[in-house]
Amino acid sequence: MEVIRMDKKGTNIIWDNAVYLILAILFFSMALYFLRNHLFQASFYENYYSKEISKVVDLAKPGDEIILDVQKATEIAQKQDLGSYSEIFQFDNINNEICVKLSTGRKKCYVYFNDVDVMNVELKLADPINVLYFNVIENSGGDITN
Amino acid sequence: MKLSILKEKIWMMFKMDVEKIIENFDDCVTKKSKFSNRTICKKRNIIKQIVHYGRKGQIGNMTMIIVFVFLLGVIGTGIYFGTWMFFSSDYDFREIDAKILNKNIRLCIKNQEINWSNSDKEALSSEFLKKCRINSNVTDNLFFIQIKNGDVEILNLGRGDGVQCGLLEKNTKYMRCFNSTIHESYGNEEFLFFIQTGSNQNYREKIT
Repeated sequence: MEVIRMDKKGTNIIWDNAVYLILAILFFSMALYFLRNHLFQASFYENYYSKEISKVVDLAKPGDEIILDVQKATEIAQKQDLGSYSEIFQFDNINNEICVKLSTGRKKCYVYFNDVDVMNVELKLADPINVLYFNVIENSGGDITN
Repeated sequence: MKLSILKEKIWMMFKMDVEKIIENFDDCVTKKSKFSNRTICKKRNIIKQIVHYGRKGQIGNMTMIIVFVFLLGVIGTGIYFGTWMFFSSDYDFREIDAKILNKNIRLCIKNQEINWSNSDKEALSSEFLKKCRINSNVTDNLFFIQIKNGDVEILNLGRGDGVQCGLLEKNTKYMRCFNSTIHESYGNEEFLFFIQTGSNQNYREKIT
């Protein structure tokens, strides 16, 4: 009789704890999902890369060969299912603009004031990390396309 | 007279209703079966149920879940605002832009020979932009360049003015600026260049 009574009480305690546990698991999984989405925020890195690359171009002189570590950008692009890596970094010599695309449907662009052209833009994968190569040359008046 | 009759009628109706409710509440239902006739009284059942839970100490069962849910809410709000504060701030690059432009101009003034005595402002601007490799289309819209020799303004390019630079603390939307001074001599001529550059460019989002 005593065992049965204790068992009945035990069932109640387990049920109570299970409710708390389920609620906690649900809450923390939702919080993790929310944080994950923000941590791999493509928008922030589009902004970051476009501005940093424009800084590099502004400080460059014609004849310079630039190699940049873009590992993080390629990782985000892969997570965002961007498809083609060649679309990530786009230089526009006519408008003196660098555009970075890390998510589908939009890209962020930033202008560089240095009157130069960017040529031979190439994204080299596993070299040993993913890097972006490009050459800076004298401005040709917007005739050259990279 | 009429009013007192009406009042009496209403009171009678009310009294009847109350009596009816009490009657129903105390109403006992007799259930007949093969073995016994069970009479169940609603009121007694309710009291019995309360006594039953009270004995097992289950009246306050799961009451603390409210506190638990509240705590989860507080943690969730903290995470949300923490993330929002960290990620919502823009990667402000205007000051760095202004510094780079200022540095490029300083180097250009040192290394390039520009005819600063030229009274034709347009010719001087064109020569300056070409020799310093600054794209005029870009600077016209997003940057500000002011070069002075002492107190005399030699060159003023781009959008904006020095007043905006001083108002940055009042409004963060105004351009961010950087100032520098450089001493140069061209032959017999001495120049004390005051270079002020400002940037007000932000990223542009394009739909692809």
